[in-house]
Amino acid sequence: MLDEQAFLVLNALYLKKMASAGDLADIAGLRADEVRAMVSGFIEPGWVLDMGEDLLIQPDGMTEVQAYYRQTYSALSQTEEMERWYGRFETINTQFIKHVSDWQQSGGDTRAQERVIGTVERLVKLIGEMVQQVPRYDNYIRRFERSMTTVDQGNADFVCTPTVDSLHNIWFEFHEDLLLLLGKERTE
Amino acid sequence: MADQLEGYKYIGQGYSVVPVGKHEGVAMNVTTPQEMIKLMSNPQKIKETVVVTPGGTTTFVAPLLYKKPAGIITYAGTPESHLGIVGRNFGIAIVMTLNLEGGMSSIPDGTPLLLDCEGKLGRVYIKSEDDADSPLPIDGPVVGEATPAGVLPEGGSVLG
Repeated sequence: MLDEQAFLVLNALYLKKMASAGDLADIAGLRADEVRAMVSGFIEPGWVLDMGEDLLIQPDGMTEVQAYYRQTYSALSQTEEMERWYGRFETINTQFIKHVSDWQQSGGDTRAQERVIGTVERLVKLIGEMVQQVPRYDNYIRRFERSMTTVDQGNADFVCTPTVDSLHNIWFEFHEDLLLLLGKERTE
Repeated sequence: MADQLEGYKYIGQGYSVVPVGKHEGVAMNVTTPQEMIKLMSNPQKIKETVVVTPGGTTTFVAPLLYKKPAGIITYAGTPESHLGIVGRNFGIAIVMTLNLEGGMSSIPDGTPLLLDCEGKLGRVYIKSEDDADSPLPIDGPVVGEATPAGVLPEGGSVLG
């Protein structure tokens, strides 16, 4: 099975599907040189494809990540506490998707943006309740707070532009992570 | 009739995510994340492909949007979704919850398609074999024209 650091990096690529080593280092909270060394170990067994600028996860790499989730989180995923927590997440998730869609279609309306930020703040609090059980979820809090600060400073690209670490991108990856942890399928 | 387009056969309509006009490509059914990963290793092919997701879940194809497919067709979901949010950013022709008409139940791989995403509804057409050499009535960006507001430029990234 993967060790924790290898999982952090390979999982980051699993969630993004395609990313640079630099992106993976930022997501996993590790140094770029550490990540590059790990990635060369992923390429040899065919878990990752090196496409030059980007790395692409391969089916065997996805299998490794899924196995780690099952072995590490199966007990937690079956608790009632986690099931209730996920129910609360689903409520906020529906609101977030609507608010981001509204923001996009309003051309970046200020009130729509405030609703997006309000939902993210609620999610950050919710994730905070889980950090003791899943310490690596602290990385999502870090990324959300960084992007919210960037939006507050006037850079609206960090609301949902896909090519930066925008609020929507982070949310999407977090939801994927959560589904894997809980052993659930997406319903949309 | 509004659904007629010379050289093309209308096959159905659904929700259009973003008004980007007419776009053509060749259909490929992508049913699993593994199939999506395989397609992602061929960026040139992606640009010529209209990805069709036969299943009820559509979000798993969202990573393909980064490589600018010719279009995406789903049989479920609405524009108010993760796929819709990312699709709007990239200005990709996406038709969601396509309702096939005329007795069709699926779109085979390799079918040449045209997606007409002018308004809130997106119409899908199959290119007629007899008119395989007709000029393409597509509305992709012309060299020198600005891209629509809120849409990322071709191959561009945004610096934070």
